Amino acid sequence: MSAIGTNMGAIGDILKNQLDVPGGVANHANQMADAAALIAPAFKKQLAEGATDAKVEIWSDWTGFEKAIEDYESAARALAAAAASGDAGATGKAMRGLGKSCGGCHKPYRKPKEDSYKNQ
Amino acid sequence: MLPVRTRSFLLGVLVFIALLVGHGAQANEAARALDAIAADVERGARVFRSTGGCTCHTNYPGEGPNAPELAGGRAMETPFGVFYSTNITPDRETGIGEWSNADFARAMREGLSPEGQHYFPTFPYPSFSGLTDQDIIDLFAYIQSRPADRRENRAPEAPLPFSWRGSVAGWKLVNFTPKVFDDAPGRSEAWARGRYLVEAAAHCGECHTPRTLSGGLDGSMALAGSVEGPEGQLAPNITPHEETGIGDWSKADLVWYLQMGLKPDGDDTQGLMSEVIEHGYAELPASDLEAMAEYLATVPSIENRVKAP
Repeated sequence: MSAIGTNMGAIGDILKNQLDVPGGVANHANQMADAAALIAPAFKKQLAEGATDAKVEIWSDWTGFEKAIEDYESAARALAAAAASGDAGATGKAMRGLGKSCGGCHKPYRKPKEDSYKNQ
Repeated sequence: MLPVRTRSFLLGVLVFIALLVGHGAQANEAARALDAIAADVERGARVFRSTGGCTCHTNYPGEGPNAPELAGGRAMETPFGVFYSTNITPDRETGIGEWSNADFARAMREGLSPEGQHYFPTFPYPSFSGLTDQDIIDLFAYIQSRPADRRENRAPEAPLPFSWRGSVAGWKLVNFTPKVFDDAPGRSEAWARGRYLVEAAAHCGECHTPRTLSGGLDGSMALAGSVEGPEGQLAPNITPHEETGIGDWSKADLVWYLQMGLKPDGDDTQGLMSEVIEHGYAELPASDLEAMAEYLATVPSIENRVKAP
């Protein structure tokens, strides 16, 4: 997940500061989409080892979790396409779509930060 | 946190003082004049967004993304009990369809219903008391333009005296001073706009400022974060303190955050904040968000690390 967050931060830096990085947004968005394949195996491992901020719902609704990962991957590809087209309005819209897709997993399947195992 | 009994006692004392002093319901001539102001629904949409989309009045957590907009029924957990937001759709019986401009202004500024009953301070009228006449009238017109939904309001689940509206009279005596803004001498227009948005419309302090034992905002800790945030969530320190606040965020970071709900490190936002961004702040003109960032960069920097107790 840290790879995803880092790419998200990089895209944010480019767009909000209007940095001149040709192809940067599309590159990072494609990396985010590629990272979608890592999510399910990474959580299986975390859950097996016990050190996780995932809620039990991630097990009881694994298909829902996989669907949310797919939605996230499409949102990342959509941002890459919008950014490559050079349309600022479409890029902003796709960015919001991608940001919202984070919540697609975080809201149902991630414990609130205040309950993180890292605070225990 | 103090036990409920201690809080009850404190509030009991406050109510007693309130009853001694009395609180005659004054007819408000200024409020009557509000009925003469022409409303602008389009402007009202912007005011609506600047409040965070009145999201507390829509029960997204309980009913999902298709919850009836503004029909209330959302549980607000507080240290004093659970209070439910009200139906503010234009439904004539269960909503606010029959209200006048003056009724709406009195609710927003004084926390009083058309019948003169006190609203519980989960409704952030101490902040909204700083809204201009025009913004209040426009906001009301926008809300009245939304679909009506019939739904009865729900009584709070709180122990006495907190479930008794009369106790709010005491609370107001101690904790409520209507907001008045000065002309901001020496400050830019954007700063003054940002102050108005942060302190009144967007009512940031209602969650991000910790509360005193009696449930009022602790002015000495303004915007420094609260462990008793809305719905049991932590509300982070948003003062410019470098380590414990958002002093390490640039203005562009903050504008981006309020547009996208994404923090500088790429993480997204949880809880009520994600909703007020999605249904409100994200749709504001960039100039408003830049103004908020400009103002927030100048509020007193307070060291306060907000961590779960």
